[in-house]
Parts: sequence; C-alpha cells; structure tokens
Amino acid sequence: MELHQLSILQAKDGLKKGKFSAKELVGLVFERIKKIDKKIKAFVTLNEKEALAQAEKADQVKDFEKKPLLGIPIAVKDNFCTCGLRTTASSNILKNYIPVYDATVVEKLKTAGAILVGKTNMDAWAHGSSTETSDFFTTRNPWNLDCLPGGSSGGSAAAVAADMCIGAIGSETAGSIRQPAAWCGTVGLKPTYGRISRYGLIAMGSSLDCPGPITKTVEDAALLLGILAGKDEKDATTLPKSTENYLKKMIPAIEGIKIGIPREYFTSGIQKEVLENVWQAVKLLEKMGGKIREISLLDPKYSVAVYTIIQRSEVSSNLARYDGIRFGEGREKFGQEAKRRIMLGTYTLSAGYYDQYYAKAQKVRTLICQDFDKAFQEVDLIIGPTSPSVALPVGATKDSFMFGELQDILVESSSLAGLPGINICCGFSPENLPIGLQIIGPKFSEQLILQVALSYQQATEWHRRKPNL
Amino acid sequence: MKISQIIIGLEIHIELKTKSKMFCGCSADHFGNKPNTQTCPVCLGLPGALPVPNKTAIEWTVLTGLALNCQIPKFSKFDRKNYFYPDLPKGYQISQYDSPFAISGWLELKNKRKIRLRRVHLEEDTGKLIHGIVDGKKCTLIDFNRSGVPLMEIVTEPDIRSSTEAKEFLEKLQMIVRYLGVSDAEMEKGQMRCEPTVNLKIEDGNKEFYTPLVEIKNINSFRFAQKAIDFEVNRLFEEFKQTRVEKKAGNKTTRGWDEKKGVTVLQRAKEEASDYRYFPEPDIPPIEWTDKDIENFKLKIEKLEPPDKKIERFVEQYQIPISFANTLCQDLNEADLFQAAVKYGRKYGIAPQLIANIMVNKRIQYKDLSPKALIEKINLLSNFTVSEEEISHMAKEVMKEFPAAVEDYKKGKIQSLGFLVGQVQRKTKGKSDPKIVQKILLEKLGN
Amino acid sequence: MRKRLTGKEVIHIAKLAKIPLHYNEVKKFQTQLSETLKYIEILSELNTEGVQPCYQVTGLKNIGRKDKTEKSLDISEVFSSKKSFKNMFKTEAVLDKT
Repeated sequence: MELHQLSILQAKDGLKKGKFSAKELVGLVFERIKKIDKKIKAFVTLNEKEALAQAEKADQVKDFEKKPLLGIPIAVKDNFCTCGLRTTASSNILKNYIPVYDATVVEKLKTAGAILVGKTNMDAWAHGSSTETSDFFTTRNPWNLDCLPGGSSGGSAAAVAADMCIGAIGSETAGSIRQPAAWCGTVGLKPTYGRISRYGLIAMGSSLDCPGPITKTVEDAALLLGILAGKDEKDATTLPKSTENYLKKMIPAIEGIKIGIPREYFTSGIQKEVLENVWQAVKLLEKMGGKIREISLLDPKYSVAVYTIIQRSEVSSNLARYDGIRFGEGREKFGQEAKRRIMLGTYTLSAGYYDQYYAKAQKVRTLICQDFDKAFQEVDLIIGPTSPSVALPVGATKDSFMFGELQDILVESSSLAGLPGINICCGFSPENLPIGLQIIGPKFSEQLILQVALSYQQATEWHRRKPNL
Repeated sequence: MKISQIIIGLEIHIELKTKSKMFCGCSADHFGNKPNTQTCPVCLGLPGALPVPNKTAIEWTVLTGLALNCQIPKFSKFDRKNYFYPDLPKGYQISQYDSPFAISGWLELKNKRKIRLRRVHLEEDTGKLIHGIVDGKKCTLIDFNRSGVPLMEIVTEPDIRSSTEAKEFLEKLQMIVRYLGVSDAEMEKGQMRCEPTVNLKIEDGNKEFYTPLVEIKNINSFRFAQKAIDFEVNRLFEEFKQTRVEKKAGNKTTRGWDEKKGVTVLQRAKEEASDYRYFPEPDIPPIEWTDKDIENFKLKIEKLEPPDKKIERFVEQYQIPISFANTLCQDLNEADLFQAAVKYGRKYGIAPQLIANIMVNKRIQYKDLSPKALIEKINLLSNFTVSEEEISHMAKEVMKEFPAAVEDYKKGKIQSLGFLVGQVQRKTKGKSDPKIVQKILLEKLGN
Repeated sequence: MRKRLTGKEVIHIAKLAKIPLHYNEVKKFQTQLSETLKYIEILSELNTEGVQPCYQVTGLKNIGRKDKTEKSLDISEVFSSKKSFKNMFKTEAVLDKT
C-alpha cells in the first residue's frame, strides 16, 4: 500500500514505529494532490509550505503520546476559519478573506499535532448537496469524473476517497457529511448536535450545523470524534456531557442490538441498486446477530418542508453580516442559490408569515423529535439508505430549486432532531458508484453507532476498494 | 378647544457597567477610547463567531426589574432583531422580544402617582457612526468599540402626564440604577438614553380627540427631556388646531430634538413599520429560573435600602435638610461615608449637620478619605468658637475636677496634659482650638 | 391554495434582505420562490395544536459566561481585510437611523 492510501490509524502506527517520517508522508500526499487534483478539484486552497514545515517539526519533536494526530495530513472544509489561511465557504464574497482566528475544531486539530493540508471545496455557504453550486468550480467524484461527489462537504469527501489526505473534516446541516460520504464511498459521521463546537464554523443553519469527520475507516472517525468533541466556552450550544474516548471503547457490537428499518426510507423513490445493497447489508447484520424489525416514522416529506423553512430562515439571518464593510465583497456577489435561500428565509420569517411558516415548522420539528423518541423505545438504532440514489451526473442540479433539500430527504429528520448518524459504504452500483448505508441513533449514542458500524466494516471489504485514478 | 390630558410614555436605554461586553470578553468600558481597539470576532460580527451571554448582565437586569417592582417570569430567552444598518455588524441585534427578563412593574412619583412599567429587557448596543468626508465625498465612519456593550431597555406605559413627571421619573430611575451599582447612567456620556413618546387628548366642546403619537429622539439630558416634551406638547396642539388629524394606526412620527434651536424636527414623514423578523436566538439556550433563584434575587434587593427611603431616614435620623439628604444619597458610597463619619464624629462632638454641610458644599475634598480622616479634617476646619477667656475658665474647672492628673503632670507624666486638653475639648464640645487649650493649660500648670 | 408570489412581493423581500436584484431577475425569482413555497405548504396537513415549538434540540438552559475581560483583537487584525480611515471602517453616507 502506498503511504497516501493509509488510514489515520495505519499512518499513526507507521510514524510511531519509524517506518516513515511525517515529512515523507506529507510530501507524498502533496505529490498525490499535484497529480490528480486537477481532475478532481477538491481543494480551494493548499497549505503546502506550512504543512511541510509542520511535518519537519513533528519529526523532530515526536511527542506522539501528547499529540494523537502528530504528523497526520488532514483536509478541512472551507467553511472552518483557519487563521492566516484563506477561508472562502466557496463563495465569491469571501474569495479573498483571511480569518484572524482559528475555529475551535481547527485549534483542536493543531493541538493534536495534525498537519493542515488545505481547504476543501463545497457548495457555496454549504447550500447544497452536490458541490456543484460552489461559486468557484465543481468538484468531481473520484469514482467517476463525470459525476458529482455530493455535498456540501463534497471536496472533503472526494479528497478522502482519492487519498489526497489521510482524513478530513466536514460539516453537516442536513446531510452534508453523510451524503457526500455515501456518494464517495467514505465514512462520514454527523455527531449529536452540540457535541462538537461550532465556533469558527461559518454559520448556515445555527440550530442544525454539526462539524464532523470524513474518513476512510470507522476507527478513524472514532479517533477524530474523541479529539474534537467537548464543551467549548465560546459556543453556548455545546453539550456538557463528558466525552468518552470513543476509540478506546471500540469493540464491535451487533449481537442483540435492536435495529429499526423505517418503511418510509425504503420506498419506490429510492434507486433500485441502492435498495438492493442496503437490504443485503441489513441481512448481513441480522446474520451477525442484529435483531431487525420494521418500524414506521413520520413521512420524511414533512421533514423536507420543515428543514427548508428552518434552515432558510436561519440562513437569511446568518448571511446578513456579509455587507462588505468589515471584510469580504458586497452582497451583489451572492450566487443564485444563496439569493434564493436568503429570500425564501426572509419571507418565512416576515410579518404575517412567521406563524404560518417558521413557527409551524418549529412545532412540526417537535413532532419529529417525539417520533424518534417513540421509535427509540422500541429499537436501539435505525438503519436505512443515506441517499435515494448513487452519485448523479454533473449538471443534475440545474433547474432544481430545492435540489439540496430533496436529495437529503432521508437524513433531514435525524438532523432536525439533533441525532447522530454515520454513513458507511455498503456496496457499489453496476457502474461502480458507491452506495451508502446510514446508522442513526438517539442523542449521545455515537459509541454504539460506531461499534455497529465497525462490526459491519470488519465483515465486509467495501472500505478497502479504491477508485481507479 | 383645550388639552385635557398629556400622554407620555418613555423608552429608556441604560448601559450596564459590566467589565466585559454582553456576548464576548472585550472590555465594556468604551467611552472616549481609541476606535476599534476593543473588538473581537464576536462583536465585530466576523464569520463563524458565536455569542455567549454575560451572566452578570443578566443578573443585574433581573435585580433592576425587582427594584422597579417587576415580576420575574420563570422563562426568558434572547431573540434576533433583523435589520441592516452599518453600526450593526451581524445584520441583526441580539435582544429580547416576547420573553423579557422582567415585566409589569411600577415606580411611584412624589405626587403618589404610580407609573407602570411594561418591561425591562436586555440587549446589545450597536457601534458608533460618525459622518465624515473622505476624498471630498461624504461617507460614514464606524467605531465598533461600543458594539456588544450590554444595554438594558426599560419601557413604561403611557402613564406620565407632564414633562415634570417625566423628569422626576428619569431622575428616580437614574438613582436606582446607581444605587444598584449596575450603571453610572450619565446621560451626557450616553450611558442613559431616553426617547419619550408623546400625544395629547384634546377636548372640544363635549367631543374628545387624540392627536397622533410622536417619538422624540436625540435627547441627552433630563433638562432637554423636559424642554423637548414641553415644546412637542405645544406643537402637537397647534398642529391639531390646524389639521384636525387624529391618532391612527401607522401615523406615528419620529422627530429629533435640536438643542441649539430648541425645537423638534421631523425625521420621517410616515412611519414604515419595520419588519424585524424576530425569531428566537438559536445560538443561545433559554433561561429558566427556579423558585430558589428568584428568592435569591429578591433577597439581594431587600438588603438594599431603596433611595427614597434612605433620604427620608437621613432627614429624620440626622435632622438635616432634605436638599442635603438628596445630594448625599445620590451615590451609595457617599451616603455610606456620611453615616460612618457621623458615628465617628460623635466623639468630637461634631454634629451631623456640620458634616452634611461640609460634604454637600464640598468644603473638603472627601472623595478618597476614610471616615476618620474626614472627621479630622472637619475638626481643623470647623470654627473654634470658644474664646480664650472661656477656655481659661474651663481649664480651671478641669484642673479642679481632675487633681490627680494635674499631680501626674507635675510629676513628669506628659500624657496627662493630653488628657486634660481632651477634657477641655469635651466641655467646650470640640469648639476650642486644641492648640490654644494646650497653651493655656501649660500656663496654668506651670504655676 | 397559495397564489404565486407577485413581483411586488419579490421586490419587497429583496429589499428586506438587502439583496440587490436586477429588474429582469424578478420574474425568475417569482417562479422559483413560488415553487418552493408550494412544496412547504404540506405542513398545513399536520395538526400541531398544543405542540410546543422546538427552538433548541440540546435541552440546555442558563448557559453564560463570567463577567471578565479577555484580550481584544489587535488593530492590525481588525483592519486586516479592509483599509482603515483614522482607525475606523468606512461605508457610504447614511441617513440618521430612525
């Protein structure tokens, strides 16, 4: 295996044992980027000089005990503020913006010794599920360059799938980690809302946004979650619940675990290959000891409406600070999607419409939370397809004014309820496009989710497949 | 036609003197400082920044509410008020809309009238705008030092009936917040801002009419508040006589007070009800008080003697004129100093009235003095009204009363002199100059 | 059933949202926004009487910070993106806030 193909744990092991140096590892990652990123276009900004300098330092100090990510090249989605390094949210308004502070997530990565490879492309302002609505360029899916990687963390997912980094960070408001992970065949973990600090994450939907890891293996996701989770004094919505060392407690679990299969997530709207592969995975989990039962959840079409209203309302307010006075360009530089979302959100909050739209949506949100509470009294976890289809071709989002929200129909409910969910690869379509399976759990159940995901990963080989680049 | 009633409501903003700002750790003490030196990603509204509320600011708002006889709802939250203006970096102000920290209070005036308070809530202040000219073109310059400073907003019901009442209300409110120690409330420094809303009830024969509402801005002293209201009352009456336009939804106007010309000037022709699209602030969890929390807040207030009670007590207890009591009670520290000085001054027979007189008329710089130091200074200053003859007479008496001390002194015990001087001081109620007393005693003892 | 958004409504929304709109964009946004509104109408099918709105999924309450000062940004950091005019930010002249 080549160095850039390693997982985080494998790379850690190699570095510690002295099989290779951080400088070599980071150097090879950048070589890989130079070779194939012109085809994929996952990166907006590269951090090569600084990364190599950090790698050299890592090789000198070698404090592996104190720094769990020492020398590991990580890519970060371009909506996380990185001090001194351009941060754009893939928007023309922030085209030249250089933050003067680090997001808490970035601070934690640096403290852990991680090497920042660069900032990855996304749908502008995270408004989308394709990365096609980036104001700069479209990222391509490493499995098929004529297809989209999903979004909005498409750049991060593509970078991981194409081995242009050892691990990456994304963010999810509703689907933006899980869905690109599904389309790119990687692991993507959306934690419980409030688990990881949002300080320094360019806000989209404040009551929904969750930073999370996109990785090659389930164990890597567990490691990153442990490093990034925790209460932050600078984010009043972070949870005080003490975070466990997820990796340490990573023993596979499936025997006796009650798994709910919502019939609403397995309808005719889902692509045939997706349904087939997800069913195969469910059968395998049953064979391994999982107790499968069918459940019923509130029709996800309502979640799409709720999510559209709440997210766009919060977006309209969160994007009000971009007026070109203290930083960035003027508001005329907003792209079409951003303009649409801001205006719809302004409307749903406006006088005379607030009750009918925003207030109503927040009430239905309560119903959705209660619906999950009820379901989790019967089952421990819920499993289903992550996305209704495999990666769609480039150009699929044109003329679809709710593309993002409709694509994410299977993940919006859990996002609205603040629940954790993971995507793992469970097969490939006949065209060799990855198919994603999602595992959702009640709040704070990341450990169990990771353990079940690990069981599946250990019983299958999907995660070892690499795209042909 | 005559004015049968003047109707005034007040909207007051008070800057809290917390150490740090409302949602971040920047210093809140901004007045007069170099522009943009007290800002951070949060109060500058930079991408990714998040607000975290200042617990002290919240507590002070609840305490102010209690001092104003308000009810404290168990549940409150912050909301976003969305609008665009260059002094508002996030494009929204974090404020409170429908769940403020305190509601339904009142403040009683001298004439026993109770002015009802609708609410007391907490929000963040905006930056400061300055009009300027750069490269020959008019522009606006912005200083964000003040952005994010905690601001308490107090809204009264339209219960005030005259400009004098309005002035009294403002003065009382100022004293209360100073007493609580939550604000210095200097109007000239912008720490207390007032916007009166005025309209009139007019009687013509047996018919009644209400004039449209007018909100007055740009008032920076209590005196101007009174003048502006007086001006506006007249203007509204004259205008009604001309136009006969009555109060209607949407015809409220805003006028700015021009202190140079002594008039109000129309700022907006027609009120366009701004659509602020309030919604609950998703970045800040709500606040829920337990019964115990509210009990504790109430205890804190009970410990504090309200200013008008204090003034009454000073007049009675110390037999000082009410004007003196008023001045002394303006500041809690001054009032405390006075009381301590009175206690200490009893030893020297120095009357409370004298101490009050000296402090009020600033005959001594007492600001950083301890009570003891103050009394000593007063001692030096006070008139030594007793004549040398009287002192001589008293000295003789004292020497007769305390022969043992006289003996001791003659035997060489110098401290006895001091004792004898003290006795003469006592007899003359401190009004004899100790230097002269000593001189006379020495003369007599020498014999 | 809901009517299509009028051009006037679109212009009003754009003004509230401070989104500069070209005259020939109005019709396009009318169509697009109306389509989205049509979809979200389905919420009216659900009965939410007596249901409390969910503003915070965390369940957290009373989160705040102690009143102490932290270091502010250096003036060079404040003006790292835009030029300063006597240490202040510059924008077009505005009328007095009403």
